[in-house]
Amino acid sequence: MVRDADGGLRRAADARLRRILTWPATPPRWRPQAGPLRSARLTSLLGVALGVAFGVCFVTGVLSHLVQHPPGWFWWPSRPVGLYRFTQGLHVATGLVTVPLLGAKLWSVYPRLFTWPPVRGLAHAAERASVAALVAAALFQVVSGVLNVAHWYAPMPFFFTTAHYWVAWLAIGGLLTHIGVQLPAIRAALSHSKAPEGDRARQEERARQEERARQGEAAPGDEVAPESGAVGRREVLVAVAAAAGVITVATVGQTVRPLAVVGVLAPRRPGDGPQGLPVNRTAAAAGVRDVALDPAYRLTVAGFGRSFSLSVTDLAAMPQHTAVLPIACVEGWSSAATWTGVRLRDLADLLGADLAGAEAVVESLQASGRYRASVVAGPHLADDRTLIALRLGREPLDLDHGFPARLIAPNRPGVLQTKWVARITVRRSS
Amino acid sequence: MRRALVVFGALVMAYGLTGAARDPDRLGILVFLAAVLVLHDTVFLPLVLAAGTLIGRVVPAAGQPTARAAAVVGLAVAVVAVPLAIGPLDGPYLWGLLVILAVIAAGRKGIERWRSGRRGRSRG
Repeated sequence: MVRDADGGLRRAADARLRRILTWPATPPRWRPQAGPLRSARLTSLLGVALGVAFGVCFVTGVLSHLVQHPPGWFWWPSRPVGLYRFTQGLHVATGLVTVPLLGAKLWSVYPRLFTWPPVRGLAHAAERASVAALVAAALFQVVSGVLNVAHWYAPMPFFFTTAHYWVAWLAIGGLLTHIGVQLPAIRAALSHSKAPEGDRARQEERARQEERARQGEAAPGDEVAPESGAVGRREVLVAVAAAAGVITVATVGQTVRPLAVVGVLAPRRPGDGPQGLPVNRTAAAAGVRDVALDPAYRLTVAGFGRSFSLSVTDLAAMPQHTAVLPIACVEGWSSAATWTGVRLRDLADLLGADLAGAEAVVESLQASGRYRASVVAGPHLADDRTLIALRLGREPLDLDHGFPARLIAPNRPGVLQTKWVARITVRRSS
Repeated sequence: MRRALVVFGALVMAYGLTGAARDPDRLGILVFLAAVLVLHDTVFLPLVLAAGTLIGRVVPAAGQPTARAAAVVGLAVAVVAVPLAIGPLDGPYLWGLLVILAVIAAGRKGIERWRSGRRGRSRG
Protein backbone atom coordinates (compact mmCIF):
# COMPACT_ATOMS: atom_id res chain seq x y z
CA MET A 1 0.00 0.00 0.00
CA VAL A 2 2.62 2.47 1.15
CA ARG A 3 4.80 1.61 -1.79
CA ASP A 4 1.91 2.19 -4.22
CA ALA A 5 1.11 5.53 -2.65
CA ASP A 6 4.79 6.52 -2.92
CA GLY A 7 4.87 5.43 -6.55
CA GLY A 8 1.65 7.28 -7.24
CA LEU A 9 2.95 10.45 -5.64
CA ARG A 10 6.16 10.22 -7.59
CA ARG A 11 4.29 9.70 -10.82
CA ALA A 12 2.08 12.68 -10.11
CA ALA A 13 5.16 14.81 -9.35
CA ASP A 14 6.81 13.62 -12.56
CA ALA A 15 3.77 14.46 -14.57
CA ARG A 16 3.56 17.94 -13.07
CA LEU A 17 7.24 18.57 -13.70
CA ARG A 18 6.89 17.42 -17.28
CA ARG A 19 3.91 19.72 -17.76
CA ILE A 20 5.88 22.66 -16.40
CA LEU A 21 8.88 21.94 -18.59
CA THR A 22 6.86 21.45 -21.76
CA TRP A 23 4.34 24.32 -21.37
CA PRO A 24 5.19 25.91 -24.76
CA ALA A 25 3.91 22.80 -26.50
CA THR A 26 0.59 22.51 -24.71
CA PRO A 27 -2.21 24.95 -25.45
CA PRO A 28 -3.97 26.79 -22.61
CA ARG A 29 -6.74 24.86 -20.96
CA TRP A 30 -9.35 27.53 -21.47
CA ARG A 31 -9.93 29.49 -24.64
CA PRO A 32 -13.03 30.67 -26.41
CA GLN A 33 -14.40 28.04 -28.74
CA ALA A 34 -15.84 28.54 -32.16
CA GLY A 35 -19.42 28.02 -31.16
CA PRO A 36 -22.34 27.87 -33.54
CA LEU A 37 -22.16 31.55 -34.49
CA ARG A 38 -18.58 32.02 -35.65
CA SER A 39 -17.33 31.01 -39.06
CA ALA A 40 -14.70 32.01 -41.56
CA ARG A 41 -17.45 33.31 -43.83
CA LEU A 42 -18.89 35.52 -41.10
CA THR A 43 -15.47 36.95 -40.39
CA SER A 44 -14.92 37.70 -44.08
CA LEU A 45 -18.32 39.31 -44.55
CA LEU A 46 -17.79 41.50 -41.50
CA GLY A 47 -14.34 42.25 -42.88
CA VAL A 48 -15.75 43.48 -46.17
CA ALA A 49 -18.26 45.76 -44.45
CA LEU A 50 -15.58 47.02 -42.09
CA GLY A 51 -13.19 47.58 -44.98
CA VAL A 52 -15.73 49.72 -46.81
CA ALA A 53 -16.60 51.75 -43.72
CA PHE A 54 -12.97 52.21 -42.77
CA GLY A 55 -12.02 53.07 -46.33
CA VAL A 56 -14.62 55.82 -46.66
CA CYS A 57 -13.75 57.07 -43.19
CA PHE A 58 -10.06 57.17 -44.09
CA VAL A 59 -10.51 59.02 -47.38
CA THR A 60 -12.85 61.63 -45.90
CA GLY A 61 -10.50 61.99 -42.95
CA VAL A 62 -7.42 62.59 -45.05
CA LEU A 63 -9.43 65.10 -47.07
CA SER A 64 -10.34 66.98 -43.90
CA HIS A 65 -6.67 67.02 -42.94
CA LEU A 66 -5.61 68.34 -46.35
CA VAL A 67 -8.23 71.10 -46.27
CA GLN A 68 -6.89 72.29 -42.92
CA HIS A 69 -3.20 71.88 -43.74
CA PRO A 70 -3.04 72.29 -47.51
CA PRO A 71 0.25 71.26 -49.07
CA GLY A 72 1.39 73.18 -52.13
CA TRP A 73 -0.18 70.79 -54.63
CA PHE A 74 -3.58 70.65 -52.93
CA TRP A 75 -6.49 72.60 -54.37
CA TRP A 76 -9.82 72.89 -52.61
CA PRO A 77 -12.74 74.59 -54.35
CA SER A 78 -15.11 77.05 -52.75
CA ARG A 79 -18.15 75.45 -54.36
CA PRO A 80 -20.32 73.43 -53.73
CA VAL A 81 -20.90 75.42 -50.58
CA GLY A 82 -21.73 72.33 -48.54
CA LEU A 83 -19.10 69.90 -49.79
CA TYR A 84 -16.99 69.84 -46.63
CA ARG A 85 -20.14 69.59 -44.56
CA PHE A 86 -20.99 66.46 -46.50
CA THR A 87 -17.56 64.82 -46.38
CA GLN A 88 -17.07 65.48 -42.70
CA GLY A 89 -20.59 64.36 -41.84
CA LEU A 90 -19.84 61.17 -43.78
CA HIS A 91 -16.55 60.77 -41.91
CA VAL A 92 -18.21 60.83 -38.51
CA ALA A 93 -21.15 58.70 -39.66
CA THR A 94 -18.92 55.94 -41.06
CA GLY A 95 -16.69 56.20 -38.01
CA LEU A 96 -19.61 55.61 -35.66
CA VAL A 97 -20.90 52.72 -37.79
CA THR A 98 -17.47 51.15 -37.26
CA VAL A 99 -18.31 50.70 -33.56
CA PRO A 100 -20.59 47.67 -34.00
CA LEU A 101 -18.71 46.43 -37.07
CA LEU A 102 -15.31 46.42 -35.40
CA GLY A 103 -16.80 44.99 -32.22
CA ALA A 104 -18.38 42.09 -34.10
CA LYS A 105 -15.28 41.47 -36.17
CA LEU A 106 -12.98 41.31 -33.16
CA TRP A 107 -15.46 39.06 -31.37
CA SER A 108 -15.58 36.69 -34.34
CA VAL A 109 -11.80 36.27 -34.47
CA TYR A 110 -11.19 36.31 -30.72
CA PRO A 111 -10.39 32.56 -30.62
CA ARG A 112 -7.48 33.26 -32.95
CA LEU A 113 -5.79 35.29 -30.25
CA PHE A 114 -5.21 32.01 -28.43
CA THR A 115 -3.52 30.25 -31.33
CA TRP A 116 -1.03 27.74 -30.05
CA PRO A 117 1.95 27.83 -30.28
CA PRO A 118 1.86 31.63 -30.15
CA VAL A 119 4.79 32.04 -32.49
CA ARG A 120 5.70 29.45 -35.09
CA GLY A 121 8.44 31.26 -36.91
CA LEU A 122 9.61 34.66 -38.11
CA ALA A 123 6.94 35.13 -40.77
CA HIS A 124 4.23 34.08 -38.34
CA ALA A 125 5.57 36.47 -35.72
CA ALA A 126 5.58 39.32 -38.23
CA GLU A 127 2.02 38.54 -39.25
CA ARG A 128 0.83 38.46 -35.65
CA ALA A 129 2.63 41.71 -34.92
CA SER A 130 0.98 43.43 -37.86
CA VAL A 131 -2.44 42.15 -36.79
CA ALA A 132 -1.79 43.49 -33.29
CA ALA A 133 -0.89 46.86 -34.80
CA LEU A 134 -4.02 46.83 -36.95
CA VAL A 135 -6.32 45.99 -34.04
CA ALA A 136 -4.67 48.54 -31.75
CA ALA A 137 -4.80 51.26 -34.41
CA ALA A 138 -8.40 50.51 -35.35
CA LEU A 139 -9.51 50.63 -31.71
CA PHE A 140 -7.44 53.81 -31.24
CA GLN A 141 -9.20 55.53 -34.12
CA VAL A 142 -12.70 54.53 -33.08
CA VAL A 143 -12.23 55.32 -29.39
CA SER A 144 -10.45 58.63 -29.96
CA GLY A 145 -13.01 59.56 -32.60
CA VAL A 146 -15.94 58.94 -30.26
CA LEU A 147 -14.17 60.86 -27.48
CA ASN A 148 -13.61 63.79 -29.84
CA VAL A 149 -17.28 63.84 -30.86
CA ALA A 150 -18.09 63.95 -27.14
CA HIS A 151 -15.51 66.74 -26.58
CA TRP A 152 -14.04 64.55 -23.82
CA TYR A 153 -10.30 65.08 -24.14
CA ALA A 154 -9.19 64.15 -20.62
CA PRO A 155 -8.71 60.41 -21.35
CA MET A 156 -6.48 61.22 -24.34
CA PRO A 157 -2.83 61.98 -23.41
CA PHE A 158 -2.13 63.58 -26.80
CA PHE A 159 -3.35 66.30 -29.10
CA PHE A 160 -6.27 64.63 -30.83
CA THR A 161 -5.92 66.00 -34.36
CA THR A 162 -2.34 64.96 -35.11
CA ALA A 163 -2.50 61.63 -33.28
CA HIS A 164 -5.75 60.69 -35.03
CA TYR A 165 -4.11 61.53 -38.36
CA TRP A 166 -0.93 59.46 -37.92
CA VAL A 167 -2.62 56.42 -36.42
CA ALA A 168 -5.05 56.48 -39.37
CA TRP A 169 -2.12 55.65 -41.66
CA LEU A 170 -1.03 52.90 -39.30
CA ALA A 171 -4.53 51.43 -39.39
CA ILE A 172 -4.98 51.61 -43.15
CA GLY A 173 -1.51 50.16 -43.75
CA GLY A 174 -2.21 47.36 -41.33
CA LEU A 175 -5.50 46.72 -43.12
CA LEU A 176 -3.79 46.44 -46.52
CA THR A 177 -1.19 44.05 -45.14
CA HIS A 178 -3.90 42.02 -43.44
CA ILE A 179 -5.90 41.72 -46.66
CA GLY A 180 -2.77 40.68 -48.51
CA VAL A 181 -1.96 37.96 -46.00
CA GLN A 182 -5.53 36.68 -45.79
CA LEU A 183 -6.46 36.96 -49.46
CA PRO A 184 -6.70 33.22 -50.18
CA ALA A 185 -8.75 32.59 -47.03
CA ILE A 186 -11.04 35.51 -47.85
CA ARG A 187 -11.58 34.29 -51.38
CA ALA A 188 -12.36 30.78 -50.14
CA ALA A 189 -14.75 31.98 -47.47
CA LEU A 190 -16.63 34.34 -49.73
CA SER A 191 -16.84 32.12 -52.80
CA HIS A 192 -18.49 29.54 -50.58
CA SER A 193 -21.60 31.30 -51.80
CA LYS A 194 -25.29 30.62 -51.39
CA ALA A 195 -24.52 27.33 -53.12
CA PRO A 196 -26.33 24.27 -51.76
CA GLU A 197 -24.53 23.40 -48.56
CA GLY A 198 -24.91 19.67 -49.08
CA ASP A 199 -22.60 16.70 -48.64
CA ARG A 200 -20.08 17.79 -51.22
CA ALA A 201 -19.64 21.22 -49.72
CA ARG A 202 -19.24 19.69 -46.29
CA GLN A 203 -16.64 17.24 -47.54
CA GLU A 204 -14.71 20.02 -49.26
CA GLU A 205 -14.82 22.12 -46.12
CA ARG A 206 -13.61 19.22 -44.01
CA ALA A 207 -10.83 18.49 -46.48
CA ARG A 208 -9.79 22.15 -46.35
CA GLN A 209 -9.71 22.07 -42.58
CA GLU A 210 -7.66 18.91 -42.53
CA GLU A 211 -5.24 20.47 -44.98
CA ARG A 212 -4.93 23.56 -42.80
CA ALA A 213 -4.52 21.39 -39.69
CA ARG A 214 -1.68 19.54 -41.33
CA GLN A 215 0.01 22.81 -42.17
CA GLY A 216 -0.46 23.84 -38.57
CA GLU A 217 -2.74 26.73 -39.42
CA ALA A 218 -5.95 25.40 -37.94
CA ALA A 219 -7.43 27.77 -35.42
CA PRO A 220 -10.54 27.50 -33.33
CA GLY A 221 -13.16 29.41 -35.19
CA ASP A 222 -12.99 27.40 -38.38
CA GLU A 223 -14.76 24.27 -37.29
CA VAL A 224 -18.46 24.82 -37.70
CA ALA A 225 -21.10 22.94 -39.65
CA PRO A 226 -22.33 24.83 -42.72
CA GLU A 227 -26.05 24.60 -41.94
CA SER A 228 -25.95 26.01 -38.43
CA GLY A 229 -23.28 28.39 -39.68
CA ALA A 230 -25.66 30.04 -42.13
CA VAL A 231 -28.36 30.64 -39.54
CA GLY A 232 -25.94 31.87 -36.89
CA ARG A 233 -24.21 34.09 -39.41
CA ARG A 234 -27.45 35.75 -40.44
CA GLU A 235 -28.34 36.35 -36.82
CA VAL A 236 -25.04 38.09 -36.15
CA LEU A 237 -25.16 40.17 -39.34
CA VAL A 238 -28.73 41.30 -38.68
CA ALA A 239 -27.85 42.33 -35.13
CA VAL A 240 -24.79 44.26 -36.31
CA ALA A 241 -26.77 45.95 -39.08
CA ALA A 242 -29.48 46.90 -36.60
CA ALA A 243 -26.88 48.37 -34.25
CA ALA A 244 -25.34 50.39 -37.07
CA GLY A 245 -28.78 51.61 -38.10
CA VAL A 246 -29.79 52.69 -34.61
CA ILE A 247 -26.51 54.53 -34.04
CA THR A 248 -26.76 56.32 -37.38
CA VAL A 249 -30.37 57.40 -36.88
CA ALA A 250 -29.61 58.60 -33.37
CA THR A 251 -26.57 60.69 -34.32
CA VAL A 252 -26.80 61.78 -37.93
CA GLY A 253 -29.34 64.41 -36.95
CA GLN A 254 -26.31 66.56 -36.19
CA THR A 255 -25.60 66.78 -39.91
CA VAL A 256 -28.92 66.11 -41.56
CA ARG A 257 -31.39 68.60 -40.18
CA PRO A 258 -34.65 66.71 -40.87
CA LEU A 259 -33.35 63.81 -38.77
CA ALA A 260 -32.50 66.04 -35.83
CA VAL A 261 -35.86 65.24 -34.26
CA VAL A 262 -34.83 61.60 -33.68
CA GLY A 263 -31.21 62.48 -33.07
CA VAL A 264 -31.33 61.79 -29.35
CA LEU A 265 -27.58 61.27 -29.34
CA ALA A 266 -26.66 64.01 -31.78
CA PRO A 267 -23.91 65.94 -30.00
CA ARG A 268 -24.86 69.21 -31.62
CA ARG A 269 -28.39 69.77 -32.80
CA PRO A 270 -28.57 72.27 -35.66
CA GLY A 271 -30.96 74.63 -33.86
CA ASP A 272 -29.11 74.71 -30.52
CA GLY A 273 -27.12 77.64 -29.27
CA PRO A 274 -27.37 81.42 -29.43
CA GLN A 275 -29.11 82.78 -32.53
CA GLY A 276 -30.04 79.22 -33.45
CA LEU A 277 -26.48 78.10 -34.23
CA PRO A 278 -24.26 75.88 -32.08
CA VAL A 279 -21.05 77.21 -30.56
CA ASN A 280 -17.87 75.26 -29.91
CA ARG A 281 -15.60 77.93 -28.48
CA THR A 282 -17.22 80.72 -26.47
CA ALA A 283 -15.82 84.22 -26.17
CA ALA A 284 -15.11 83.59 -22.51
CA ALA A 285 -13.18 80.41 -23.28
CA ALA A 286 -11.15 82.24 -25.93
CA GLY A 287 -10.41 85.09 -23.55
CA VAL A 288 -11.70 87.79 -25.87
CA ARG A 289 -14.77 89.12 -24.06
CA ASP A 290 -13.36 92.46 -23.03
CA VAL A 291 -11.36 93.14 -26.18
CA ALA A 292 -14.26 92.26 -28.46
CA LEU A 293 -16.71 94.53 -26.64
CA ASP A 294 -14.25 97.41 -26.50
CA PRO A 295 -15.52 100.42 -28.54
CA ALA A 296 -11.92 101.04 -29.57
CA TYR A 297 -11.98 97.84 -31.64
CA ARG A 298 -10.54 98.25 -35.11
CA LEU A 299 -10.19 95.77 -37.96
CA THR A 300 -6.79 96.27 -39.58
CA VAL A 301 -6.45 95.43 -43.26
CA ALA A 302 -2.81 95.45 -44.37
CA GLY A 303 -0.71 94.37 -47.33
CA PHE A 304 1.31 95.50 -50.34
CA GLY A 305 2.71 98.40 -48.37
CA ARG A 306 -0.66 99.87 -47.30
CA SER A 307 -2.78 99.59 -44.18
CA PHE A 308 -6.31 100.57 -43.13
CA SER A 309 -8.04 100.63 -39.78
CA LEU A 310 -11.80 100.15 -39.83
CA SER A 311 -14.25 100.47 -36.97
CA VAL A 312 -17.51 98.58 -36.77
CA THR A 313 -19.33 101.66 -38.15
CA ASP A 314 -16.90 101.85 -41.08
CA LEU A 315 -17.52 98.20 -41.84
CA ALA A 316 -21.28 98.62 -41.63
CA ALA A 317 -21.04 101.56 -44.05
CA MET A 318 -19.43 99.44 -46.77
CA PRO A 319 -21.66 97.53 -49.24
CA GLN A 320 -23.24 94.61 -47.37
CA HIS A 321 -23.87 91.17 -48.85
CA THR A 322 -25.84 88.24 -47.53
CA ALA A 323 -25.08 84.56 -47.93
CA VAL A 324 -26.50 81.34 -46.52
CA LEU A 325 -23.54 79.25 -45.45
CA PRO A 326 -23.03 76.30 -43.09
CA ILE A 327 -20.72 76.03 -40.14
CA ALA A 328 -19.37 72.49 -40.63
CA CYS A 329 -17.37 71.24 -37.70
CA VAL A 330 -14.76 68.51 -37.75
CA GLU A 331 -16.87 66.59 -35.25
CA GLY A 332 -19.42 66.06 -37.99
CA TRP A 333 -22.12 68.48 -36.95
CA SER A 334 -23.08 71.27 -39.28
CA SER A 335 -25.71 73.92 -39.39
CA ALA A 336 -26.56 76.50 -42.02
CA ALA A 337 -27.24 80.14 -41.21
CA THR A 338 -27.77 83.47 -42.91
CA TRP A 339 -24.75 85.78 -42.68
CA THR A 340 -24.52 89.45 -43.65
CA GLY A 341 -21.33 91.42 -43.92
CA VAL A 342 -18.59 92.81 -46.10
CA ARG A 343 -17.05 90.71 -48.85
CA LEU A 344 -13.51 89.70 -48.00
CA ARG A 345 -12.62 90.47 -51.59
CA ASP A 346 -13.85 94.06 -51.20
CA LEU A 347 -11.68 94.55 -48.13
CA ALA A 348 -8.65 93.17 -49.96
CA ASP A 349 -9.45 95.44 -52.93
CA LEU A 350 -8.99 98.48 -50.67
CA LEU A 351 -5.27 97.74 -50.89
CA GLY A 352 -5.40 98.34 -54.63
CA ALA A 353 -3.36 95.29 -55.65
CA ASP A 354 -4.12 92.44 -58.02
CA LEU A 355 -5.62 89.57 -56.06
CA ALA A 356 -4.62 86.84 -58.48
CA GLY A 357 -2.09 84.61 -56.74
CA ALA A 358 -2.69 86.30 -53.39
CA GLU A 359 -3.83 84.98 -50.06
CA ALA A 360 -5.30 86.61 -46.95
CA VAL A 361 -4.15 85.76 -43.43
CA VAL A 362 -7.10 86.33 -41.11
CA GLU A 363 -6.16 86.74 -37.47
CA SER A 364 -8.35 86.69 -34.39
CA LEU A 365 -8.40 88.78 -31.24
CA GLN A 366 -7.77 85.45 -29.56
CA ALA A 367 -4.19 85.74 -28.37
CA SER A 368 -3.10 82.14 -28.51
CA GLY A 369 -4.32 78.80 -29.75
CA ARG A 370 -3.83 76.68 -32.83
CA TYR A 371 -6.78 78.14 -34.62
CA ARG A 372 -6.32 81.84 -33.94
CA ALA A 373 -5.48 82.50 -37.56
CA SER A 374 -6.42 81.02 -40.89
CA VAL A 375 -5.35 81.50 -44.47
CA VAL A 376 -7.88 82.26 -47.20
CA ALA A 377 -6.47 81.62 -50.65
CA GLY A 378 -7.37 81.06 -54.27
CA PRO A 379 -11.01 80.22 -54.91
CA HIS A 380 -12.11 81.20 -51.41
CA LEU A 381 -10.53 84.63 -51.57
CA ALA A 382 -12.20 85.36 -54.90
CA ASP A 383 -15.60 83.91 -54.01
CA ASP A 384 -18.53 86.32 -53.72
CA ARG A 385 -19.80 84.54 -50.68
CA THR A 386 -16.69 84.75 -48.54
CA LEU A 387 -17.66 87.36 -45.99
CA ILE A 388 -16.41 89.18 -42.96
CA ALA A 389 -19.78 88.80 -41.32
CA LEU A 390 -21.26 91.39 -38.98
CA ARG A 391 -24.74 89.97 -38.64
CA LEU A 392 -26.24 86.54 -38.13
CA GLY A 393 -29.87 86.25 -39.16
CA ARG A 394 -31.36 89.66 -38.49
CA GLU A 395 -29.19 90.57 -35.50
CA PRO A 396 -25.64 91.65 -34.96
CA LEU A 397 -23.36 88.68 -34.33
CA ASP A 398 -23.62 87.22 -30.86
CA LEU A 399 -20.41 87.55 -28.86
CA ASP A 400 -19.96 83.78 -28.87
CA HIS A 401 -20.37 83.71 -32.64
CA GLY A 402 -17.50 86.13 -33.15
CA PHE A 403 -18.80 89.71 -32.49
CA PRO A 404 -17.84 92.18 -33.86
CA ALA A 405 -16.74 90.35 -37.03
CA ARG A 406 -16.01 86.82 -38.14
CA LEU A 407 -14.87 85.12 -41.29
CA ILE A 408 -17.37 82.86 -43.02
CA ALA A 409 -16.53 81.18 -46.30
CA PRO A 410 -18.21 78.46 -48.35
CA ASN A 411 -16.97 74.88 -48.20
CA ARG A 412 -14.62 75.38 -45.29
CA PRO A 413 -14.23 73.58 -41.94
CA GLY A 414 -15.49 75.35 -38.87
CA VAL A 415 -12.05 75.71 -37.26
CA LEU A 416 -10.96 77.86 -40.19
CA GLN A 417 -13.92 80.27 -39.96
CA THR A 418 -11.98 82.65 -37.75
CA LYS A 419 -13.98 84.51 -35.11
CA TRP A 420 -13.35 87.92 -33.52
CA VAL A 421 -11.35 89.01 -36.55
CA ALA A 422 -8.72 91.60 -35.66
CA ARG A 423 -6.39 91.73 -38.63
CA ILE A 424 -6.34 90.75 -42.28
CA THR A 425 -2.99 90.64 -44.04
CA VAL A 426 -2.98 90.18 -47.80
CA ARG A 427 0.19 88.90 -49.44
CA ARG A 428 1.43 86.93 -52.41
CA SER A 429 1.09 83.15 -51.90
CA SER A 430 4.55 81.65 -51.73
CA MET B 1 -0.93 40.85 -55.87
CA ARG B 2 -0.65 39.44 -52.36
CA ARG B 3 2.94 40.44 -52.01
CA ALA B 4 2.21 43.91 -53.37
CA LEU B 5 -0.53 44.42 -50.79
CA VAL B 6 1.67 43.22 -47.94
CA VAL B 7 4.64 45.34 -48.94
CA PHE B 8 2.60 48.44 -49.71
CA GLY B 9 0.70 48.02 -46.46
CA ALA B 10 3.96 47.75 -44.55
CA LEU B 11 5.24 50.96 -46.17
CA VAL B 12 2.05 52.80 -45.26
CA MET B 13 2.31 51.52 -41.70
CA ALA B 14 5.89 52.75 -41.57
CA TYR B 15 4.73 56.18 -42.72
CA GLY B 16 2.19 56.32 -39.93
CA LEU B 17 4.68 55.10 -37.35
CA THR B 18 7.38 57.62 -38.28
CA GLY B 19 4.83 60.44 -38.20
CA ALA B 20 3.62 59.36 -34.79
CA ALA B 21 7.20 58.93 -33.55
CA ARG B 22 7.93 62.55 -34.44
CA ASP B 23 4.84 63.84 -32.65
CA PRO B 24 5.56 65.51 -29.30
CA ASP B 25 2.90 63.32 -27.70
CA ARG B 26 4.41 60.07 -29.01
CA LEU B 27 4.51 58.47 -25.59
CA GLY B 28 0.85 59.23 -24.99
CA ILE B 29 -0.05 57.77 -28.36
CA LEU B 30 1.88 54.59 -27.61
CA VAL B 31 0.32 54.22 -24.18
CA PHE B 32 -3.16 54.73 -25.58
CA LEU B 33 -2.56 52.22 -28.39
CA ALA B 34 -1.45 49.59 -25.89
CA ALA B 35 -4.22 50.44 -23.46
CA VAL B 36 -7.11 50.08 -25.91
CA LEU B 37 -5.70 46.81 -27.21
CA VAL B 38 -5.10 45.25 -23.81
CA LEU B 39 -8.32 46.49 -22.20
CA HIS B 40 -10.38 45.34 -25.16
CA ASP B 41 -8.92 41.84 -25.28
CA THR B 42 -8.55 41.15 -21.58
CA VAL B 43 -11.52 43.01 -20.08
CA PHE B 44 -14.11 44.04 -22.64
CA LEU B 45 -14.40 40.90 -24.75
CA PRO B 46 -14.37 38.45 -21.83
CA LEU B 47 -17.21 40.47 -20.30
CA VAL B 48 -19.08 40.28 -23.59
CA LEU B 49 -18.55 36.52 -23.73
CA ALA B 50 -19.70 36.19 -20.15
CA ALA B 51 -22.84 38.16 -20.94
CA GLY B 52 -23.47 35.88 -23.91
CA THR B 53 -23.16 32.82 -21.71
CA LEU B 54 -25.48 34.40 -19.17
CA ILE B 55 -28.08 34.99 -21.85
CA GLY B 56 -27.68 31.37 -22.84
CA ARG B 57 -28.45 30.30 -19.27
CA VAL B 58 -31.19 32.73 -18.28
CA VAL B 59 -33.23 33.25 -21.42
CA PRO B 60 -35.39 30.39 -22.80
CA ALA B 61 -33.90 28.88 -25.93
CA ALA B 62 -36.50 30.25 -28.33
CA GLY B 63 -35.91 33.80 -27.19
CA GLN B 64 -32.13 33.71 -27.20
CA PRO B 65 -31.43 35.08 -30.70
CA THR B 66 -33.52 38.21 -30.15
CA ALA B 67 -32.10 38.64 -26.65
CA ARG B 68 -28.57 38.49 -28.03
CA ALA B 69 -29.42 40.87 -30.87
CA ALA B 70 -30.97 43.33 -28.41
CA ALA B 71 -27.89 43.10 -26.20
CA VAL B 72 -25.58 43.73 -29.17
CA VAL B 73 -27.53 46.78 -30.32
CA GLY B 74 -27.77 48.12 -26.77
CA LEU B 75 -24.06 47.68 -26.16
CA ALA B 76 -23.07 49.40 -29.43
CA VAL B 77 -25.33 52.36 -28.69
CA ALA B 78 -23.99 52.57 -25.14
CA VAL B 79 -20.40 52.74 -26.43
CA VAL B 80 -21.35 55.89 -28.35
CA ALA B 81 -23.71 57.37 -25.77
CA VAL B 82 -21.73 56.94 -22.55
CA PRO B 83 -18.83 59.25 -23.51
CA LEU B 84 -21.39 61.85 -24.58
CA ALA B 85 -23.13 61.53 -21.23
CA ILE B 86 -19.92 61.60 -19.16
CA GLY B 87 -18.15 64.27 -21.21
CA PRO B 88 -18.38 68.05 -20.89
CA LEU B 89 -21.16 68.60 -23.40
CA ASP B 90 -24.52 69.28 -21.80
CA GLY B 91 -27.34 67.52 -23.44
CA PRO B 92 -29.81 64.88 -22.35
CA TYR B 93 -27.58 62.04 -23.52
CA LEU B 94 -28.31 59.73 -20.63
CA TRP B 95 -32.00 60.17 -21.33
CA GLY B 96 -31.30 59.59 -24.99
CA LEU B 97 -29.55 56.32 -24.19
CA LEU B 98 -32.39 55.20 -21.91
CA VAL B 99 -34.94 56.05 -24.57
CA ILE B 100 -33.05 54.00 -27.12
CA LEU B 101 -32.66 51.07 -24.73
CA ALA B 102 -36.38 51.20 -24.02
CA VAL B 103 -37.11 51.20 -27.75
CA ILE B 104 -34.79 48.19 -28.18
CA ALA B 105 -36.49 46.30 -25.35
CA ALA B 106 -39.92 47.08 -26.75
CA GLY B 107 -38.77 46.08 -30.21
CA ARG B 108 -37.52 42.80 -28.87
CA LYS B 109 -40.80 42.12 -27.08
CA GLY B 110 -42.64 42.91 -30.28
CA ILE B 111 -40.48 40.60 -32.37
CA GLU B 112 -40.82 37.82 -29.82
CA ARG B 113 -44.58 38.14 -29.78
CA TRP B 114 -44.74 38.20 -33.58
CA ARG B 115 -42.51 35.12 -33.78
CA SER B 116 -44.46 33.09 -31.24
CA GLY B 117 -47.67 34.14 -32.95
CA ARG B 118 -46.31 32.83 -36.22
CA ARG B 119 -45.15 29.59 -34.60
CA GLY B 120 -48.56 29.08 -32.99
CA ARG B 121 -50.32 29.68 -36.28
CA SER B 122 -48.09 27.32 -38.27
CA ARG B 123 -48.53 24.56 -35.71
CA GLY B 124 -52.27 25.03 -35.39
